[in-house]
Amino acid sequence: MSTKFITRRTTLKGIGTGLAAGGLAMTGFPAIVKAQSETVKIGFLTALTGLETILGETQLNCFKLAVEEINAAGGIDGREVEFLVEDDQTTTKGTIDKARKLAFQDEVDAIIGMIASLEHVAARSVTTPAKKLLMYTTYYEGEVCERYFAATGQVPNQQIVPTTKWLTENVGKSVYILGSDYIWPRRSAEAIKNAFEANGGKVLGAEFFPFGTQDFGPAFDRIRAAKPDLVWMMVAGADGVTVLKQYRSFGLEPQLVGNAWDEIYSFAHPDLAEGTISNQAYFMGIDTPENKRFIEAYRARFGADKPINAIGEAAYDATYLYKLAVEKAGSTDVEKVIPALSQVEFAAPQGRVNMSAINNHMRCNSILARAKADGMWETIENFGQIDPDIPGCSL
Amino acid sequence: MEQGVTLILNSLTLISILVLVSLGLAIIFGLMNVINLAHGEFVTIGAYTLALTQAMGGNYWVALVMAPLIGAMFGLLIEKGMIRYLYEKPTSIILATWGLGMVLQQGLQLVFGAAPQRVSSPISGAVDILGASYPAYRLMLIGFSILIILACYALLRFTRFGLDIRAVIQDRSMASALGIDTERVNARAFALGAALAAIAGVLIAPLTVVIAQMGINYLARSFFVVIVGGIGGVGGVVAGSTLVGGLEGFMNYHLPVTVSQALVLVAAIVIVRFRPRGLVPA
Repeated sequence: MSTKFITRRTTLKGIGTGLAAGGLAMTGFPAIVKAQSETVKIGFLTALTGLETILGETQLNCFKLAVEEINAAGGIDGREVEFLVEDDQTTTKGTIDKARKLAFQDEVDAIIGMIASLEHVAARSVTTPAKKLLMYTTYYEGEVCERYFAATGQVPNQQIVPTTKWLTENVGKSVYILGSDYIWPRRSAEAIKNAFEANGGKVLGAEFFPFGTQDFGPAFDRIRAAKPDLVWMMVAGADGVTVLKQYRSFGLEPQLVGNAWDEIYSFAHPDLAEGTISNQAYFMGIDTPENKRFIEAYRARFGADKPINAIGEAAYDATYLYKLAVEKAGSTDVEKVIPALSQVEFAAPQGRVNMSAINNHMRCNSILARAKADGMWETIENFGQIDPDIPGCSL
Repeated sequence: MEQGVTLILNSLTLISILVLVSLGLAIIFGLMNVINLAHGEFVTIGAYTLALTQAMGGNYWVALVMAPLIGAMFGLLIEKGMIRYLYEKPTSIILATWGLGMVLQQGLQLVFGAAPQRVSSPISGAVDILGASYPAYRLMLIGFSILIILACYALLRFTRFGLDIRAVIQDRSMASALGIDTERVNARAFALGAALAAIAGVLIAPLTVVIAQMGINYLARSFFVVIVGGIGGVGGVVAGSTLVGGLEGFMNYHLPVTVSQALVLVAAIVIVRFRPRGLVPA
């Protein structure tokens, strides 16, 4: 292949990149030689079909944006980033098959992505024994403590706990939980229960529904009878829209809270989302230069009125943190990259972020917000960066 | 009392959804014996018709009229372009329609994106029935499915087209010998099935998420309803939907949803064991 040769054009390009970096022009030159020899290979694994399709597209776009920016700025330590995208179909089997392909056939340096918890469980069953770095970018139930697993989404003490404290002080003390029937809603319901009880509140009921449930009517009847102050929804992916539509049509009173709601839902259905409360590490309304630039770049690349959500922003952050860690380690060797991950920090759209050394989880921001009529979220309280707490974890 | 009323209404809603999505399949699978795995996508096409109509400023009722026409057109195209070459090869039909379903899903996603489509219902608010307040749209849905059941029954029972279809099903070669254009009957029946699915899509859309993959939720269930109910026509669909929807609706009040769905499946297996031709065989 022509990548072995230093052509006039690539040399000029390399010098150009070096010059663009201003005073760093000198470091640009040796970098070109390296770029000719090898690339950094990242596998992006997520749900592009199935239940989580509505979230996968944005997450993939954010990842692509990060890679394109990194390459445009000279790659990772002068090495170009090459990526492969695989669709896990939001299924356990699909995830295992695709994780195997990325790890053993494509021999990627790291895998980023995934949405539903069943995906990270399945992917870890491949990547952890294979000693491949897996970076998960969705808020989840926490609880994973593995050397080769890193998470850039919120865990309960960064999301559920501060939200619950605010809710019990400002809205009400009783809650009814509706969720999809799998690990994330079930384990998060436990965290919600503990958090409410710690604040003198109470969970009046919790119900879990299989994927693709068509009618939530019976559950709404029970909610009406239980008279909670709050209804907390963790119905995942596309089903989250169905349950919201039906909740609104039944005209139920309790304040809606959800830790999975974001711009993907509120842009598609602003009328249904208006007034709901959610907590994410990122909302588009954040007023910082980093975020403004991020949104502008995203929209220039993918379309003017497209929503961006926390899962996508976390994928963007994960890609940059990986880049910084590889540069810090001076190698893509996973044993060197992992310790380096907690030594770098990134001025992310959500604010400054870095990783905890003891559990490989990101010190995410925690923003409590309410959906407005135009689909944007208005901050109620920004709790800032919170140290992730994975009980019993010390890596 | 109040809870009893909502229990019945919730069950009726579920039964209506099942009837709507299964009627088209009862004609295509039950009557024509075509295992159409793209049936869910016909429902999706109906829902997208509503989303597109409303996005262009049209109202719900326009979409309700447009959807069956678009559905029928699609059905006709697919029958003429694909299915008619495969009537003698049932396994090929399974593969071909499965592929077709994927093409339609991804095609819709390419054109409209992965985000859920916005649809709004023509009526909102709740109605008081015997002390229980119930969403007006759900009552409308129940009403429409009763109308559609009656219309289908009348069509198959009292019209020349219905007579032709029944004749072709009973004995294709004899029907042909008697001067019935069986190819034309096939094409029309397939188009009718697709049109019914598309109407179902419009009616269901305000209650559910409208995305390119939404059809998957209906495919397995509609086969299930048709097989349990009996491959015989409208009666079988009503019986199957009532059993599945009613049982699930009732059990949902006492058991977790996941468990009640599993139990309905078990009940269906038992029924099919003792009544292999379904509750209301032809």
